[in-house]
Amino acid sequence: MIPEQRFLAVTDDSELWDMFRAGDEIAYTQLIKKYSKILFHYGFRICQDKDFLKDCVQDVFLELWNRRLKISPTQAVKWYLFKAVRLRIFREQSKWNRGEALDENYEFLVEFNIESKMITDLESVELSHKIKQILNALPPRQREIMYLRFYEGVDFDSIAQIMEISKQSVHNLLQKAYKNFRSEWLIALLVFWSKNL
Amino acid sequence: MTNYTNYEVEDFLHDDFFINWVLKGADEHNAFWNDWLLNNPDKKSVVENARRIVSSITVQPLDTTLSDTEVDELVGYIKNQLQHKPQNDNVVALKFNFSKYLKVAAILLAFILVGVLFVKTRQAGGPQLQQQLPGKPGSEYFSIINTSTDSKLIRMSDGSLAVLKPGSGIKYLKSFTKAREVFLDGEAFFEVHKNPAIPFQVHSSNMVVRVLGTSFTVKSQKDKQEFKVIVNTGKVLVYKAKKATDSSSDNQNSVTLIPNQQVTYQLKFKKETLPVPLILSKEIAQKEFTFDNTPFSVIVEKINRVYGVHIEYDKALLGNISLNASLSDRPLDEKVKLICKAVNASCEFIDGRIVISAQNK
Repeated sequence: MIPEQRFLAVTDDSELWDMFRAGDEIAYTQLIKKYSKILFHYGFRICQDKDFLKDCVQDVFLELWNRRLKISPTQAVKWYLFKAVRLRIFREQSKWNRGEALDENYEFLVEFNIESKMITDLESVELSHKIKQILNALPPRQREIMYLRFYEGVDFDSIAQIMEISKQSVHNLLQKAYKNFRSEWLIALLVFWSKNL
Repeated sequence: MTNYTNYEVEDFLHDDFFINWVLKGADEHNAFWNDWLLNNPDKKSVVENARRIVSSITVQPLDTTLSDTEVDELVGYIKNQLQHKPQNDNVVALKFNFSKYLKVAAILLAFILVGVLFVKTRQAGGPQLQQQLPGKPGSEYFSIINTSTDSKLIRMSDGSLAVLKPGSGIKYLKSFTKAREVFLDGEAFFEVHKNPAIPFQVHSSNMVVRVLGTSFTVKSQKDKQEFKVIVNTGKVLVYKAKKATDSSSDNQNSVTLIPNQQVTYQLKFKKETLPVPLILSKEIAQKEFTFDNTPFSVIVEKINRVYGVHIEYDKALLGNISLNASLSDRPLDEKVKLICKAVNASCEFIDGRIVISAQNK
C-alpha cells in the first residue's frame, strides 16, 4: 500500500471518484474519511443501532472497492453513497425480519425546527410551534423527503433515486406533507406580513 | 427556463431551482430571481412567503455521531479486510488431501460458526419446557433433556449443532426446511449452519435470539431474572418475543450484536463490548485453532475446553500423535472429523457423546 502521508490535492468529488475508480487507494481512503460520518448521520435516522450502522457503512465502502471497475462516473457522489447506505440498511434488516416489509414501516428519526428569526411575538411562537409539531408528526417517507430536500439539499431527481421511488411519487408525498400544514403556514405568513409591511 | 408567472407558494416549494436559490444563494440564482422579481412585482409576496418557508425549516442535529477515532478505526478495518481478503483463499486445512474430503470442506467453508450459551433461571425445570413449547406433541419436534453430567452434542437436520449442558432441555423441529426454530430451557452452545434464507431462531423464556450465520453465547445469572447474550462471530439479533397484538417494530425491544459484544437483559437491554476478545471470535480462533506439530491430546483438550464438551478417545493410542491443522473455520463436529482423519481414526456421535476410536487394521 502507498504511504499514507502522500498528500492528495484533490477536493472535487467527481475527480476523487474517478481516481478511486481507477484504483487509487489514497482517493478511496479520502472518500471514506470524508463520507463515513455523513453516511452514519443519515443512516442513524433510519436505524438507531450504532454498531449495526457502522457495519453497514463499512460494507458499503468494501463493496464499493470490490465493484470499482463496474461503477460509473458521477457528479453526485454523496447521493450515490446515500442510496447505497439506505439500501444496505434495509437489505440487512430484512434478513432479520423476514416477512415484514421494513422499508414500509421504518421510522425516520428527525426533529424539525422552525427557525427563530421569523418568530417575533407570542402569536408567531404558537404558530411556529404548531407547524413544528405537524412537521414532526408526518409519516416517515414524507419526513425523509423533507429532510433530504430542505436539510441535505438533495434535488428531487436524486431523492427519487435514493428512496427508489418515482419522481412523481416524491412530489405526491411532498404535496401530502404540505397539505397538513398549509393553513397554519398561511396564517403564520399573514401574521408576519402584517407586522412587517 | 420554467415559466414561474403562475406559481403559487406551494408550487415554488416543489421547484429545485427555487429551493436551491434559497438554500445556497449562488450568484447565478440571485441574478435570475432579482431580475424575475423586477419583471413580476405582483409576485413579490408569493416568492417571499415561499422563501421564508424554505429558509425557516431547520433540523436538530443528532446526539449520536461517529468520533474521529471511530472513523479512523473504520478506515483501518476496511483496509485490513481488503488486504487480508486474498489470503483467506490460501488457508490450507490439513496436510492430507482426499479429493472427496475436499468437496466436503469446500461446502463447509460456507458455514459460519455460531455459538450460543443459554442459561436460564433454574426455576424452569424440565416439565416447564414441555409446557412452553408450542406445536403438536411428538411428531414435528425432537425433544431432548440432558440428565447426564456431561454436555450433549445435538446435531440438527441442517448441520447446525448445539452443545446442551447438563440439566438443560431442548426441543427443535425435525425438519428445518421451512423454519429453523429451537426452544431451549437451560444452557446450550450453538453452532449454526449459515442460511440467510431461513433465519435460525432460539426461543428461551420470552426472548428470541435470531441468527443468520454467526456465533454467540447466551447466559443468565442464576436466581436473577437476567438474560445474557455474548457474540463470537458474525451478527446476532436479540429481541423480546412479540405478542400477536403488538405490531410495532420499535427498536427498544431488540438489539443487534457483533463479535465480542454482549447484551444483558434485566427489564431493558444493556449492550457492552467485551474487554478481552473471545476464543471463538474470528481473529483469536485463527490463532487458537491453528496447530503446528501439536499432539492429538492437546488439540482434543483445547476443543473440550473451548466448547465445554468431553471427547472420549484412547489417549494411550492416539494422544501422542502430532499433527498440523487449521480448524478455525470449522464447526465442532467437522473439527473432530478432521483431526480423526489426520490420525486415521474414526469418530461417532452417539446419543450426544463424541467418541473417537482408532481404526483397526
